[in-house]
Amino acid sequence: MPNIKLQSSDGETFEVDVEIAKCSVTIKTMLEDLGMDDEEEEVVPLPNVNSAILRKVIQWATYHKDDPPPPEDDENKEKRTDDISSWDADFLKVDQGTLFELILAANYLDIKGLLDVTCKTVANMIKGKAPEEIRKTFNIKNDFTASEEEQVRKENEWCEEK
Amino acid sequence: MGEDHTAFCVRSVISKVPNVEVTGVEDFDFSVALESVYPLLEIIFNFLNYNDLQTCCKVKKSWKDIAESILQKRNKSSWFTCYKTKIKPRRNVFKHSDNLHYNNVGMGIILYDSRRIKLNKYICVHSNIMELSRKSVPEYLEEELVPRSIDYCVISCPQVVSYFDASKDTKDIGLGSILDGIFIPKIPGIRTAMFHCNPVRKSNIQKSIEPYINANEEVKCLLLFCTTNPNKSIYNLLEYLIPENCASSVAVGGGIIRGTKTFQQICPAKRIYSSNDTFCIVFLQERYSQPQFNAFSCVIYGDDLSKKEFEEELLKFKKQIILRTDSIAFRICCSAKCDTEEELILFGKVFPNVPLLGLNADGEIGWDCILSTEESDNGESKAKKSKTKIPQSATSMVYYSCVGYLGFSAIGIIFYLNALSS
Repeated sequence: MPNIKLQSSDGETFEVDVEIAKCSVTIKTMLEDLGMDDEEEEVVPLPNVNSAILRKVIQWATYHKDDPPPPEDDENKEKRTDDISSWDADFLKVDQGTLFELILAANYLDIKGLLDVTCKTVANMIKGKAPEEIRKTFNIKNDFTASEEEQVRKENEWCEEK
Repeated sequence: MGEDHTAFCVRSVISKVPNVEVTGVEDFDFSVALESVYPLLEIIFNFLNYNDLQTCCKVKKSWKDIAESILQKRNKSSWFTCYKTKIKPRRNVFKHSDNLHYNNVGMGIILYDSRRIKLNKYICVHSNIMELSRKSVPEYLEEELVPRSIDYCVISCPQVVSYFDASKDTKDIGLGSILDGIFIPKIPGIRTAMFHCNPVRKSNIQKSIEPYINANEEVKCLLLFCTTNPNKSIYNLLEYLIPENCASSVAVGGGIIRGTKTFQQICPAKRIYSSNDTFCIVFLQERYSQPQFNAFSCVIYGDDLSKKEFEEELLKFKKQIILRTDSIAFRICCSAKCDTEEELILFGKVFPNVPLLGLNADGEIGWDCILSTEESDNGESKAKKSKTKIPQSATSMVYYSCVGYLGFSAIGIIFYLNALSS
């Protein structure tokens, strides 16, 4: 298996199987555009990803290398969040800062599967919670005035569960 | 479109929230970070259901804007159908709209043919067959099909013939479905309620209905189902529910069916329903509010209408109503009527992309809705009469079919009743 070298923003190089690296559409395009030959010892610089995060991304991509491509999105549709595998759940037991950096990396590297599962994880942090709990979880300041809050409450009144 | 299955399992509709522990960090503002990358918050919110998005509206102003824009995109109704193909080798087919997993459902109406349904055989193979065959259809649905937060009813009818999707082989429609269902989204400004009521004694009516309808609400659309001929007693109910001076602004449809069961958050007092009970589904609007909703019904008489005549009737109805981009339709047709297939195809032609939930009943209930502005001048005495009071021809034991059109948020409900004679 040919390998490729990926260089993180802080200068660390990671040697990765090309096929695994290609789960990132960004890397795949880069290889194709630059016409990088598999046999050449080239280093792909990834200035937006630090070594800690790149290590995690490679770990994720290696585990998921045989996954079928994720389905196309339909933005009008509510998507499922209950299908996070136990491996992913374990993988994503991180702090909020790391989760956010993983999202950024998945976005930059264009790895849809990873972006999906990280966003699902954030969605699950919202699900089933009351507004105040959500504010606490995300460290959000309530920016509604009392009268605005009343207005929002009124707008939603018709659908409140009894 | 859903794939064909020889059996289906919809357990996955009931969502579980997996526990992934993400710890907070000091000096890191997760929410600011999420909002700093557009459209990240939108991507995340797309994973949320109706209730969670409503909650998000209350968290923060910027969250409210995003959550509202997502909710607006999700106002389509969803449907499923399970039927057996007519052509041999006969297969069981399960189809559903590709938004069946939406969770912003206000109400579900599920129809099944009690004579044709065999749970263990048709519907599910994922669990113990012995156990399943002991369950009733409503029990099965409650456990497997419908998320618990949804109010829905299950109606057993002589025949279930819906028309959701032109790709369904119309040759199979004649046979009817085993199980059809429609989920109507929560419509802003409109509340739905379901209840049983025995209208024989007028004094009963208020008591049964009061818990379900607020004083400042009025009925815009009414679906009525009973297991025996309601005769005159149904007028007691109609008189109570429908303001007398604008009867024709309320869409009404229904019929005599075999049985009903409701599953809802507002639990009715446990009692045994009598055969005199009428099951009502109402769409309520707060007085003087202007929701983007409307409902219309019409009755098409006659069994001997040609294809062309029937299409003209539908076109006439279409002209009278306000079409909305999201809509559903009901069709209640006399079970003695034949040639259902043609009618459904014509309906699909006149109202493309409007899912039609249909049943054949042993007697139909409904009337023509006429918009005052659209009233025709060619002396339609029947229509004029219904404007002022409840038409005495609302129920009919004689072959008719009723179409209803419900328009919300841009949806519409259409009803049509189909009659052989008046």
